[in-house]
Amino acid sequence: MLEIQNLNVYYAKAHVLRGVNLRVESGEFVSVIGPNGAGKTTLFRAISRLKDYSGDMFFDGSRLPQEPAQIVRLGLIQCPEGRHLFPYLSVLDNLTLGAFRHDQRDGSVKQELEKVYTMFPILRQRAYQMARTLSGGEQQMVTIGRALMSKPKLLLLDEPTIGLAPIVRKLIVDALKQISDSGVAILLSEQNVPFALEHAQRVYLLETGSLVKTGTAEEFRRDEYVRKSYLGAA
Amino acid sequence: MTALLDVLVFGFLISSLYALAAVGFTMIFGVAGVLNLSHGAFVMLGAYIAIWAQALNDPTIHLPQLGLNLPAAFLLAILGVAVIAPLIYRVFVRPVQDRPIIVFLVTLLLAILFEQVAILIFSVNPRALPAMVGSSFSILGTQIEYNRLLASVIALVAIGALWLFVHRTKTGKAILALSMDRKGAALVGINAERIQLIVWAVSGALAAIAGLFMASFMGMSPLEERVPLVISFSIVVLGGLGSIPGSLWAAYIIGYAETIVAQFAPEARGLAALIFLFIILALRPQGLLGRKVAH
Ligand SMILES: Nc1ncnc2c1ncn2[C@@H]1O[C@H](COP(=O)(O)OP(=O)(O)O)[C@@H](O)[C@H]1O
Ligand SMILES: [Mg+2]
Repeated sequence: MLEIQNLNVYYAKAHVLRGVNLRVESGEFVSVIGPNGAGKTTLFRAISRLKDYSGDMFFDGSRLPQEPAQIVRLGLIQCPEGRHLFPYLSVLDNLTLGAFRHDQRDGSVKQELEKVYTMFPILRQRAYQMARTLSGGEQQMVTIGRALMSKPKLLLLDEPTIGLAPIVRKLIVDALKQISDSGVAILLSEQNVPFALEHAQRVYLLETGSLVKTGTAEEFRRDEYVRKSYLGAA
Repeated sequence: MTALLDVLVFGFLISSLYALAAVGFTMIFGVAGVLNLSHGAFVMLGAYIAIWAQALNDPTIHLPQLGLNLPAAFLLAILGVAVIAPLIYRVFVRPVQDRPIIVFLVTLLLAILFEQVAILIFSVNPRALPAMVGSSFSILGTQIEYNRLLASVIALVAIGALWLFVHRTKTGKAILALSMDRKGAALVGINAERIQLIVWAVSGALAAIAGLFMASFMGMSPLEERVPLVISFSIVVLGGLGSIPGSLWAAYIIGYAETIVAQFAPEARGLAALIFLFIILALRPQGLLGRKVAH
């Protein structure tokens, strides 16, 4: 579904992603793990074309377009690091803007909205509140809800649980499982490796701009290096 | 009583003129961080297109003349600026958009260019637009011109329509979204380029309406394009850069402050607004309804 070949990204002269090859099959749940500064956010920004790059990216067999808006239209949707909600718009407006690319006259937007409210019931109560007045966890729910309103085929989530209380993290991670079970492919970036491995089928390890390891979640759990460096095993 | 009604009616007209001019300026800043110094020239352009379009056999205007009736001339002015403004954006501003200093220079030069062309065609002397409707009526002993009443209604309709457009339409919501978070807007599939063209068109149309007001009630000369620019600037700073409701409030506050002061000391009208502006900025540097914009 998503195929990335030899991706290189620079910030000025800094070579931040070095020949990254990555693939997500349709319906798959894939995690990218790696320490702070490894290049996870840069990878996600490149996929959504918020950042220029060299290399090849294909989605459903065709080359990815140049414009973020066109990429959204393909169903490649991102929940970015830092959320990037519309702070002075209501929760409902934020969610509805997720469906910006879709015809809003038929009932389908309402249907999607119901699905989001079912997944995160608190958002129904918050519908008319400004997004900026919500707690961090609720804001993350709006971000995910907004992305779902775009009817993703592949959902990119850049550290969605960072800074959240454990109980909220659990809620978000379970929501991701639910989204994945509904057939949406997921590419998740996480520093919290146990979370990243929990529902993933395959995992990539990114360190200083290079993918140094890839395998199934099971392989990662058993891997000596991953256990030592990321799972805190002795 | 007479003075009070005068202040109410004329204050409303002036404030509406300011609001129409400032809202477009603030929208352009909001969606792209562009301070468009040719905004005052758009106001002037609106006035002069109408002055030209309704003239017939006027030897002081160096252009072939149409002699349109007033409503047609007004419509032509509004549509004309609504087309010219996005063109200017596309041709001159967009290529340098990431460099604020260059944007400053380019839009300033364009403003001067417009001034000079207007002087060539119309001379530096001030001109006015004739009234759309004649005669007046009296209420509580005050004479109120029908023309002013009509202009007030037009102002209300224009501002109301803008409000509905921004808050009730999909495109309007996209404008708000883009002005609050550019990355977020890109990630829901909002095409910033298209929205900016629309905002420049709307902004041009509103500036043109403000120009029609200015030419109808105060007269207009090519060099006076600086007045609406400076006023828009002040209002936008007062209302909070990029905030549409903020600039509407600020326009009516400044407009009425000026009108009230002008009742007692006509020479001090411009000063009053400035002093007011300084006080507000000292107390609340982000403006009345100011807020941060995420990039
Ligand atoms: N806008 C930027 N300008 C310059 N360098 C950047 C920028 N954003 C990120 N970097 C650098 O790129 C590297 C990767 O960062 P990032 O993709 O944010 O990593 P991660 O998301 O894995 O923490 C880091 O060394 C970071 O300092
Ligand atoms: Mg990151």
